[in-house]
Amino acid sequence: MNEGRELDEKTVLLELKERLGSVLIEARSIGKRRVLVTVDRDHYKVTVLALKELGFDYVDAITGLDAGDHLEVITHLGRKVSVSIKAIVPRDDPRIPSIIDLYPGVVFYERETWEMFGIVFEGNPRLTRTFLPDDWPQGVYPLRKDYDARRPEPAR
Amino acid sequence: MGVYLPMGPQHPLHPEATLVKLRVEGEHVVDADVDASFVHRGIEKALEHKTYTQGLYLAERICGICNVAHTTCYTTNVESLAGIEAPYRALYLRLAVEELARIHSHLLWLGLFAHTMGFETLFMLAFRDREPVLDLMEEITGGRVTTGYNVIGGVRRDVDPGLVFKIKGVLTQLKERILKYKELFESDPVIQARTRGVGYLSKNEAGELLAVGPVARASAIARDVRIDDPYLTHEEVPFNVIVYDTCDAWGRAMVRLDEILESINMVQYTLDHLPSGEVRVKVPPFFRPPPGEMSSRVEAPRGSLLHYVKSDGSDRPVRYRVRTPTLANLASVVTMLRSRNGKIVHIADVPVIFSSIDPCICCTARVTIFDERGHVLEKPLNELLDMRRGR
Repeated sequence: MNEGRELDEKTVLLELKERLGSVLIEARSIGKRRVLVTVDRDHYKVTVLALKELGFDYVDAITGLDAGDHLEVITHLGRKVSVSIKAIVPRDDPRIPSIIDLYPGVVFYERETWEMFGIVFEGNPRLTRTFLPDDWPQGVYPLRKDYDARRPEPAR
Repeated sequence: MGVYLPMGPQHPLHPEATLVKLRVEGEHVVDADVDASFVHRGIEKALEHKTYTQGLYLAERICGICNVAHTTCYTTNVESLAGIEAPYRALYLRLAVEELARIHSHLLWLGLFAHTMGFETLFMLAFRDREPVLDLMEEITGGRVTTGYNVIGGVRRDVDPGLVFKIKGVLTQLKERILKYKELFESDPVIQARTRGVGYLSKNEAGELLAVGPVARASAIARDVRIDDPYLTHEEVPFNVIVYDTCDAWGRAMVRLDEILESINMVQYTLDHLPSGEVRVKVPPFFRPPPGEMSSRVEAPRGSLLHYVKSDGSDRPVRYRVRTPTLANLASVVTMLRSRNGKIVHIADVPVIFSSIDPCICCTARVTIFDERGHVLEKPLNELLDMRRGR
């Protein structure tokens, strides 16, 4: 397994730009061995696939984020160089393709993001409530910014 | 036709509230899932309401045993976001304390693992050997387990030459004991019978299911953040990544025992080569990092730990994300618990398999969990109640 071992963040950026070109809304290095790539949700899976072909065989985590006017799904890939793919997801239509067919181990990360942000990962067969209490109100996503953690909604 | 057998949430062999749901046919486990959401505390949301300085103390309380890993990850993350540089000596001390924490975490695991095998004497011995390490932690940091040692900008206390001498003495004695335990695991027929071939996870499976830490390394995958993405002064401290290819609970035990030996060498090397200078730079309590985002990774005792932070320029993070090693390993343990490819899993092996990943539920339940192939529990608690009524 080469796992991107011989690549540094500059090579990763160059390779990504060469393979994906104008798909990337933004691509830059944010620190030593840290790369941040922004794409829209239609090109999210293509970007993950391009990294997989580059030898990235490990997904660290999937992070959801509420940026106010839109939501974001950030997928952290890679062992040596950590590439964060940020996919922009519209707030009124929170859907994004699942990458479970590329990396079977991400199933929990996608489920957590679904539960906490209401982002639907299309293609993940196991998006069911597992983590919030049974009596948690439907359609309330605790890690979104409009949810006030200091005054939780009454359970019933 | 199978029977569902719940193990937990309260069970003598689980140190924390965990529900392991097994589908059994006779004595054979054919399917399994894990529900660890009984101690969820919403820490990620709470971190959004704290300043960066306050957040450190909350991050430390994500987990008792891995608190040093969490503060190392948090401080590294926030420091690189805010452009703060901790003094060189502080990085060395962080590394020494991190490795000491790995030693006591692995010894704790050794005791609990022996307990699940029914080997109570080894449990007592492991906990006895853990005591001197906790005493060292107390002398260095002021706290036995929750250390509060790492702060943004460095560490809270320095060590003096007398203490360095003492640490090295204690660790040399500990080394003897660990070599004894290794010999025991290699020769004892009962341990062999309980762990060899139990909890099998092939190299392919471990790679696909994104296993981390000793679980991955016992399946011949050399994943170690300290090598892949050095975060303190790991480039300067020599150590080996321990890899076994037995792919079973025995391999996971041996990986951890060998890692204790490596950690002892690392602490001794670090203390021998401590650079001089300050251990902390002063950081104002309400500092504001520039807008941006950053992620940091640390090799916690249980595997790779990730923290991600996004700042909008204020004194509080917009988003703070924590992905703990046990969450990453749950997909693997669910697979280990399932009889497949001619490998039969017996009910009696379940505690050994489950504890072989060194589960840390209070870390993980903060986030999410639970799985099962084909069978998804939509209301775990209700189903559990139904199950109890039916019994």
